[in-house]
Amino acid sequence: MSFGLPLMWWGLLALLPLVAIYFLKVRPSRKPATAWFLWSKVFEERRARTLFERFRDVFSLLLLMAVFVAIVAAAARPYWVGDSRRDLVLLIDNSASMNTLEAGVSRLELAKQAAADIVQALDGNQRCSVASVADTVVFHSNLTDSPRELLDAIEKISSTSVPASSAAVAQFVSGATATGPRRLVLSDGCWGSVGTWVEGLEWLKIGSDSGGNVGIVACDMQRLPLADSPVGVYLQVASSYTEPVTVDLAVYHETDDRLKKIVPLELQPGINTPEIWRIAEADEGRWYFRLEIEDRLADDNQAYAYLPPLVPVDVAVLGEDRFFYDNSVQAFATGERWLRLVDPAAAAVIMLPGNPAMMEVASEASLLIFNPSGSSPYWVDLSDEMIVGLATVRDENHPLVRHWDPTALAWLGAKRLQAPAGAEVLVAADDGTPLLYRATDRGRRVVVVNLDPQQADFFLSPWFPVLVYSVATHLSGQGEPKPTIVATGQDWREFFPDESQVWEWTTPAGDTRTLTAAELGRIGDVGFHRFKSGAQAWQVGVSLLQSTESLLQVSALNENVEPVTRRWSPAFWLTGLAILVLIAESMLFHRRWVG
Amino acid sequence: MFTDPSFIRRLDSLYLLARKVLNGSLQADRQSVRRGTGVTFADYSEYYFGADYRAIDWRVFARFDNLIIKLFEVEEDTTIHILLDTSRSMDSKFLYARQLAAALGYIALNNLDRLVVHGLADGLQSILESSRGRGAVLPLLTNLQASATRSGETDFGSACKLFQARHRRRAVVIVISDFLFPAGFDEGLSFLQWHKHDVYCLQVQDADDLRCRWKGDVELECVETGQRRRLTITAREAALYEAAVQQWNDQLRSSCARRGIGLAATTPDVPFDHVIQDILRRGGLVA
Repeated sequence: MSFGLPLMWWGLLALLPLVAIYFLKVRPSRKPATAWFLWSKVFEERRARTLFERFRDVFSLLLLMAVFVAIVAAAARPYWVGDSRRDLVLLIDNSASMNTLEAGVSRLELAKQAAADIVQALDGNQRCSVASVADTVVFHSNLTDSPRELLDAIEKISSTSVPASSAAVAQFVSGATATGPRRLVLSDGCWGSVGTWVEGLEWLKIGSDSGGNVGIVACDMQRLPLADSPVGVYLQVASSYTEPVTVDLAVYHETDDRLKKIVPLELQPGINTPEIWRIAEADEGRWYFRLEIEDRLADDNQAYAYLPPLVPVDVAVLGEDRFFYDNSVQAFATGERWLRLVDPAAAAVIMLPGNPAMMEVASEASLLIFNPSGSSPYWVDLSDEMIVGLATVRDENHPLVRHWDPTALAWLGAKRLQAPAGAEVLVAADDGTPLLYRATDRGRRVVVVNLDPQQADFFLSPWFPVLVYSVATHLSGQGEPKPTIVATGQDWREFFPDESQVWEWTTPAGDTRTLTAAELGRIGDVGFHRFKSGAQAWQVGVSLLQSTESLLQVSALNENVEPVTRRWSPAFWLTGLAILVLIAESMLFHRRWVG
Repeated sequence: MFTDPSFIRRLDSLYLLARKVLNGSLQADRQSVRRGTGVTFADYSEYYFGADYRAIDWRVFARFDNLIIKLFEVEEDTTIHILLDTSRSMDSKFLYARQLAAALGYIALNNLDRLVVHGLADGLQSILESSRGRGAVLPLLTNLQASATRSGETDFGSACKLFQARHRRRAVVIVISDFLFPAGFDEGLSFLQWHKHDVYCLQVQDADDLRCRWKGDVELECVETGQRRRLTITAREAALYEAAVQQWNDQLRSSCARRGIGLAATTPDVPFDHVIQDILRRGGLVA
């Protein structure tokens, strides 16, 4: 026999105070006898038993010491040499594929039943922990030998609609050692690349390959940049049937009674070629793509997409020579995010040359300023014109410069100036003078273009309307179109560049929470999610869209689970022995106190 | 507390009851079985040589020609000795025993009897010297209040012999004790009776004397000698002790009955004046 925690033997030092306390405890109380000579008759009667009584305290003490030693030994976690018993972590897969039905029962329920069987087989003499895994590993209990606690933890595990993440399990296994706890995964193996990271895990296969399933594994819906505003749909389906199957894809708008299209699909086994088609008159709102089939996994038969409304960017122009400015706005008068020329009082973006302080500017509108002059909070130390040798783009992927080439401009009429504190310089001259920068002053967002468009012939350049469009859509918050459909398992933060921005989030279940983008976490529930922050709003459809979940390939999993040790542990026997001896001593002690 | 007005009022009530019950006068009016020269006719007797001529009933001689003398009851003051057990075994009931002694002493002093109170432990200690009359009531009560139990093993027989050596005159002897004398009580009672004393016993035992309420491991300590011994008391041991006490008290009862000694047993649970009232209503301490 050896011990897992031999340091616990130091606990035997507690025997010293135990012995002292014992003798204090068993010291009999003193009673005054008024008729001592009458008690002598009783003494005579008891003389035969005196020997036993004399040693009874010592005997009782020895029993208590034996109990204590047994408890200390049990705490030292003894194990038989050669016993492979180790702590066990049960990792139950609750990804979307575990919702697959096997003879009417979901794979998750089968996995939970298998885990419960293992816990009951342990009989409380081996420590175990319960966790669930889909896109992340979530522990539902600590290491414990309490079957009740473990069974409660198993019962708490609920189904999800997210795909299994091999990265989550890989991270979980990364710290595994040969002497650490066993990690047993109860899963259907729909993980994609199981074989590459199986090291350190034991697998118990749940489910079978019998029966087929089809599911939508990719979907997108976007407006096309054409005058009649059609909508393009991209959709890909996977099939786990061994034979080709024919399935109708029904497209609904808003409600089930508004069927917009039926697309018959001839599906081959495996991942099929994507389907692409157009919907000529697609209204804004919620769109449902549903495979009309009853198969083993229902979650992947439907995809959700939200088509946003067509919202123009209202732009106004200030100044006397407005011809080219007006034309640049009107050049983008159609499309998904089109520009609309309006009065300055109703504009979201105001375009002007020179100094805004000299003109009447709507208080909340963003500004696009060409050819800065005079004194303004949007630049500092403006002086004479300069000759720009070489313009440098500092962030080529920025939305303001992504679609045109600033280095191709002559930047004539540029003035020496400095950008205000906190400004983001996107294009600068070789001496560092900012040529194009973005600044914010008291909530107003401003883009300054440090050139004279007329002197630089910029009005005649095709980049002029592109710059106007880029700045207008960027300043109005519509520069980066958000997707209409996303897949579960992704991180919401991918779609919110400013993680500190506070959003009001309404889930498909109707729950509304207010939290920052950094707190949104991973995408879990399928359906439509709504986000609102001030004037900004975004609605998106969330769908499963994961081929490994839809193909249900259980056979890809190599089961390698080892049997669970069922023999009683030495700690169990020691604890039992301690309890028995304690009962015996208690009876002895009870007799000494109550006679 | 013995000199509290309320306590004295209780004693006074007992005395009034005693007067009523015993039907005596304020003089030393205790009737005696001895015949003597009193004024109350008691009996006739044949003349004997040396008899008082004044007692010859000449009317009888004139009629029957026989010399007959009249006998008269002697009216004498009586000395009452109270032997109060002051051993350690009386600790728990010593107050009660002193209250009984105070009540009996109060009645005796008010009846103009001579009263002596002794403490009875490993020897005899004087609590009240020979006193007579109501003037001795206050010393009686203050001395009783000041008295305390003493250590040492009680030897009743030796104490009785010591008592007899000091007081040879016949007297009424009232022993107030638990009678848990290790050397027994027979010798002492016999000795007192042999010397013609009128002996009465008032046995005071409390519940702890009569029953064993301890259970389990205890260390018994003799209250008189300080001896100690560990013992595990079960129901069997408790029953053995209670049977021994019962047997001891039965022996006391039969010994008193055999000798014609009055005995009253009581416990501190019964108010002391109730005990005295009961004794008086039964006509005194009778065997």
